[in-house]
Amino acid sequence: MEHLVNIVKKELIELLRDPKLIAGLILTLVMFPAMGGFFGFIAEEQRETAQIIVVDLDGGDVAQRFLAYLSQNYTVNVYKSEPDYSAIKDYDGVIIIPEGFTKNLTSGEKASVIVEVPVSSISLSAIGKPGKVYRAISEASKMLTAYVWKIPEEYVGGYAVQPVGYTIFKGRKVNVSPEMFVGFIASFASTVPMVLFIVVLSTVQIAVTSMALEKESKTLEMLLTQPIRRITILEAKLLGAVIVSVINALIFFVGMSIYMGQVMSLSESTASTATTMTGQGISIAQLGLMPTPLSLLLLVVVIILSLVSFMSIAVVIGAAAEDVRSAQTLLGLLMPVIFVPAFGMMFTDLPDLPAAIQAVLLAIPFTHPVVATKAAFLNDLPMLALSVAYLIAFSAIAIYVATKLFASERLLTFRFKWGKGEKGRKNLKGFLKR
Amino acid sequence: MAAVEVEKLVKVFSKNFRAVDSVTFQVEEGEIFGLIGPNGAGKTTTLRIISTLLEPTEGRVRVFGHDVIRESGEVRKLIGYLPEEAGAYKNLKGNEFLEFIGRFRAKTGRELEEMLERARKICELGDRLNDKTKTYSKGMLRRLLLAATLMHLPRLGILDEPTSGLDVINALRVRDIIKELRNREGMTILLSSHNMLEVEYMCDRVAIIHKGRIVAMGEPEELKNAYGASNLEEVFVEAIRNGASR
Repeated sequence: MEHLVNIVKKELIELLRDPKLIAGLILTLVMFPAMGGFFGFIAEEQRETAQIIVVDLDGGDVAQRFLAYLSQNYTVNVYKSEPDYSAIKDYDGVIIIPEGFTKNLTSGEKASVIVEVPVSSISLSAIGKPGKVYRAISEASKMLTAYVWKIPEEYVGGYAVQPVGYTIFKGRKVNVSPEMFVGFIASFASTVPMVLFIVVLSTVQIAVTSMALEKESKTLEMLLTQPIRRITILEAKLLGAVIVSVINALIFFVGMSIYMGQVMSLSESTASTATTMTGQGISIAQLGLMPTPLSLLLLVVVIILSLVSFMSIAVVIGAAAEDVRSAQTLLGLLMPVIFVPAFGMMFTDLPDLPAAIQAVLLAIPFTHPVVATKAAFLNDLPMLALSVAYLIAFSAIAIYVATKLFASERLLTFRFKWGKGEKGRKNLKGFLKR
Repeated sequence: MAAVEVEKLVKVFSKNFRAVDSVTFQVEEGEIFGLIGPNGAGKTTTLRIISTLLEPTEGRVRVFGHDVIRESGEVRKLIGYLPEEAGAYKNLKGNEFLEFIGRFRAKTGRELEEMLERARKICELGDRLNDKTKTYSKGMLRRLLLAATLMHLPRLGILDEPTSGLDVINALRVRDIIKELRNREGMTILLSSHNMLEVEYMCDRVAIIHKGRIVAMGEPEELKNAYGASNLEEVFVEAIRNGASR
């Protein structure tokens, strides 16, 4: 028992002194409250009074009653005809009461209302958007059902008023229900950064380890005294990592295409149902939400360039570290730079952030593949071009720094080894100073 | 022409630590020259500068007339450098490792084959060359690395502690290989060691280095006579004592 305690004690000391484990714990501590805060924010938003535009094309007394209920309980603006879609961004939705609404209900049939929900964000913040207007319809419908069917509200099972939903995206009407649309946006917004995060991390790990391994296995000195230019060694290291990253980017691209194919077939089936019901509207693909070959090409270029930037940094980190473990530790310090844009972009869109934060995020190479993926779906070519230009400049600087390091003796004298306590802090301070 | 000319070499690392402090010596073509000294004396730093890995802070170093800074590419063509703690790529087989290094030197396939054949003779690893290097013992790995360093018959072999950590049998084998290559091929060897017996057995001339400075230099016999010592170990202790009191 005594020996068991002794060994367990040693295990705990070793594990708890591992900076990667500590970083993981801190991440967990930060991540869950952040997610809780976000979903709390969405719930809070849901509780706010919905702002609705109502268009009454029926004018009958039942329609008037429906409108009066909505006006009493929500902030309602009454329009005579369908509003300009580009001007309704700040509203939670538009409810159109079609002609024949009163007639249908008074003759004992069901009636439908058209619901149009504007969605402007390709992030998880879009999730709560349809909920508010749908809840308003549900409550008004319950009241109206009790009224026309002449039963107490508490006995209302099925509703007499059925909503037919559309999404207003980029100022145009999409023939997809808002729930379906935000469902697609939510899965897209959470899947893409996650996959990119894994692709980048795995590629960077390869580059860091490849260089640090040369040092750890003591092969670097022998290699450096061969009659080859040092830049050739750097080129070979980068090329090796680039090949891996191209494979990674292509796999990402193929995976995403399959994913989009699945989502599209789902959207199209919904679209055709909606079209049958209303005889108007267009599908997601027609809206230009599918990337064109040019925007896809630019996206692949952005992903490769961002990987090259990160790999150049990774090679420098690998060269700075004395062994693989120290390299991993240094890479751990870079993690927030990869992590923050990836997950930040899940919850919001770049243009919705203050300019200063946008600038900081855009300075980080990893923000670009995430932003560019969204831009590719919106066919936002200027944004894609900006990403390509910035990443070319960043890669050039990163490669230049790596080249300088490789050309000098610093490749051998550069030493970062993770130590405990004061020694570790000194090492880190020394490294950051250089 | 001297194989190596080191003139007033100084190497200062950060925090003003002078690892090498005004060192001057020459290695003649075809001789085995030993740099001896305690750990941290500056032997490895000197060898690394000659091998073009580090840059001198002051002074001049030439290898067969080529400056190690301005003509580092030329110097690398002439040397073979075996670092003290060298390793091999763990997942490469012995043969593959030799071929990887050989390809940097060989201009033709035939030349590469000749080099590999020579390497096989030097390391005497036989069928074990078909195994991954991670399965090698320390002695086997050192012989493999020595073969990789010398298989292209460099004009200058720079060997940092060539027998470090080896058992008696392996150490003897490595020493014989080095002597044979010098005798048969006329190769110049510059080595460092803190094994006095080894140095006395192998080297034509030695330089004793202490705290970055050369405190004695000459043929082993000459040094023994000068210090009235019966072996190099006594010379070493005496020279360091004198050096320290200076």
